[in-house]
Amino acid sequence: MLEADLISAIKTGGYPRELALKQIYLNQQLKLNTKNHLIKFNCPDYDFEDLFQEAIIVMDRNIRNGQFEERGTLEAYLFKICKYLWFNELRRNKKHVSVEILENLEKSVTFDQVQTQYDEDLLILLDLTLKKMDDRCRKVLELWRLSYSMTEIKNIMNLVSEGMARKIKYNCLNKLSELIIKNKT
Amino acid sequence: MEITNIVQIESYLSGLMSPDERIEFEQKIKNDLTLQEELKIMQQATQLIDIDIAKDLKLKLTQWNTTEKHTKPKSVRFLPYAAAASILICLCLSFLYMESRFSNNALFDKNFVIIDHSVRGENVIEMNSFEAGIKNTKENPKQAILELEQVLKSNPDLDSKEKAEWYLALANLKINNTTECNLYLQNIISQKSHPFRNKAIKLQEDISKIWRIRLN
Repeated sequence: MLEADLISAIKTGGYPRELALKQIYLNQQLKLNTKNHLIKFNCPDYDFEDLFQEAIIVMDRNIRNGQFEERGTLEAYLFKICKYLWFNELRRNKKHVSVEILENLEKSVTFDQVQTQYDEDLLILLDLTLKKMDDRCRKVLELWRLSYSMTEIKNIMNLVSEGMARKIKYNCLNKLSELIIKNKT
Repeated sequence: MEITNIVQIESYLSGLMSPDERIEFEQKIKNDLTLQEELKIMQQATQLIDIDIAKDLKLKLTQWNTTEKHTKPKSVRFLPYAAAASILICLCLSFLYMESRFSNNALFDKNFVIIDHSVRGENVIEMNSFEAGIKNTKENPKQAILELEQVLKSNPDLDSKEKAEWYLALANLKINNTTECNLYLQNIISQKSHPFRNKAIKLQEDISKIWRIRLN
């Protein structure tokens, strides 16, 4: 897939998104280039794999949310996210790097469209709500958020009709809302 | 939460409303506190689902990574094989070299020279049995051993005795009887004035070389 097709597939969601993400993630050249780029900022091998995965997740979310502006290449965008994540990691965990590297990194980090860390309260709420729901509900809501069509949801979840898929989605969303209200109070 | 509200909020959040619908809905929100609260809750709900999706993707990435590592055809690393082959070739060549220099046959060939044993005044062409024994050392060493032992038993002159001892050592070497060969060499070395003493010392050194343990 070409870069434009990859972006379009992620936006489409569903199976094309998964294929596109797989292709990006398993592109060894892309991984190597990103790694070589981060080595300049003292990023060790053992941190890189985690960082790269996190960058793919951020990229996926931003493309789906329309926060990715198609001005540069996808590779440049991933570099940018990785650099930002690494900078955050250095700051947060006070990792040992020279002041010069940290300053260079700070100057070159211009990423401001990403939420890399989730709010602690939100994570607690996740445990109390969505994680308490049955697997079918969680799966349907996830598929819906990933832009799967009702036909696709019906097929994946082995449902009788698209109408049934739609009904389950609303019921689950309602249930989730109720759980949120309940846990907030 | 009313299903109609859910549908409207969902359309609003996903940008599916037309500009007019959007303005109308935003106006509705301003005047409806319940709808405001429901919008917030829906935003939180989608946020939670997004976190769940991110966690799910993280799992998938790890799985893809593992699958890729397992299914990737392993590139054949030639270097260790090439190194092993080189070592093997070197060992073979060394073995052949050592064999050509230090085997019993090689040592025999190195030391065996036919010494003229004709007695002055006699016809050189007419060889006596002693000379035949010396000659046989190479072609028929077992026969030579019998003949030369016979010579030693017959109280020969010193010259014949010394030559017979040397050729007996060589004949035994030729038939790979190094123990017997060494006994003759030891005997020669013990005689300080023996004309073959130096040769015997050298031959004994060559026979006892360490790599000959493997050769013989």
